[in-house]
Amino acid sequence: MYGFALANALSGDGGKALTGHGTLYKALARMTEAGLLETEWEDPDVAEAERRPRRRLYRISSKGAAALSAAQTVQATAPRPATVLRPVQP
Amino acid sequence: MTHIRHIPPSAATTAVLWWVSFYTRSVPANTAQERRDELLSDIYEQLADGRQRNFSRGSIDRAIANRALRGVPADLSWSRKERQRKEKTMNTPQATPEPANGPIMVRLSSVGWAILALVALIGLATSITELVDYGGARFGYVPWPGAGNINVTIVQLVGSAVLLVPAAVVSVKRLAQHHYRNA
Repeated sequence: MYGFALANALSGDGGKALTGHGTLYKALARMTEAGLLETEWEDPDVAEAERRPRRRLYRISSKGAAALSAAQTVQATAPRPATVLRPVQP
Repeated sequence: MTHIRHIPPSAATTAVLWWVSFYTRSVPANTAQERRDELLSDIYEQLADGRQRNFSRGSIDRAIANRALRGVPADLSWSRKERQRKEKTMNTPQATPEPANGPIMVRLSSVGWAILALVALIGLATSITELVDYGGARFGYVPWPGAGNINVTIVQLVGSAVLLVPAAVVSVKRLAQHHYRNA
């Protein structure tokens, strides 16, 4: 996946509120540095054939997949806050 | 390297690309080029996506400018971090061991401070000698024509003392650092 496609996927509302450039690429750089993502530049020939700038492609690494799985587990087992407040009985 | 020819120019895209060039100007060249290429690709993709959705060029440009503006704090913090990393890398001494029989390398300023300390020491010693009334006569040596004048001697004493303190402190500190590095 490449930067703009990620921003589009994250916005989830038809591209109306896409993540800011700086926010998106800073986060991607930090995750890449932490080893959670792997990145490589697209083959220039492919981009040239489609007459567009080449994309920087990201994919989740095995370390990133493990971190994601751990985060999802924590999220699933975390106690949910009480949504209904009951008045204290006198 | 990506070329700008892929992007149809407008005030918004020009401003965003200028901003990218601006905040990447002091980060390492390779990192800066990658960020510029990535942004160029992003802008191109957003233009293409907007056209596909039948958005007007004006609304796409506004969306691009909006994204750039919202990302400014992150751009600046990223740029500062990269710059700090670059400076840290440049300041880190190389781990290459110096050969035992290699020339002794000292900073030129250290030599300057050592000479200043020596001059101050000589000035202090001669002024004290004069003040206790031995003067040049004892050693058959008169440092300069003003020697023997009490006012000149006091000025020499004070000047030498003021100079000696920082010169001696810096020289000893540099010597200790040099010794520590070579240990």
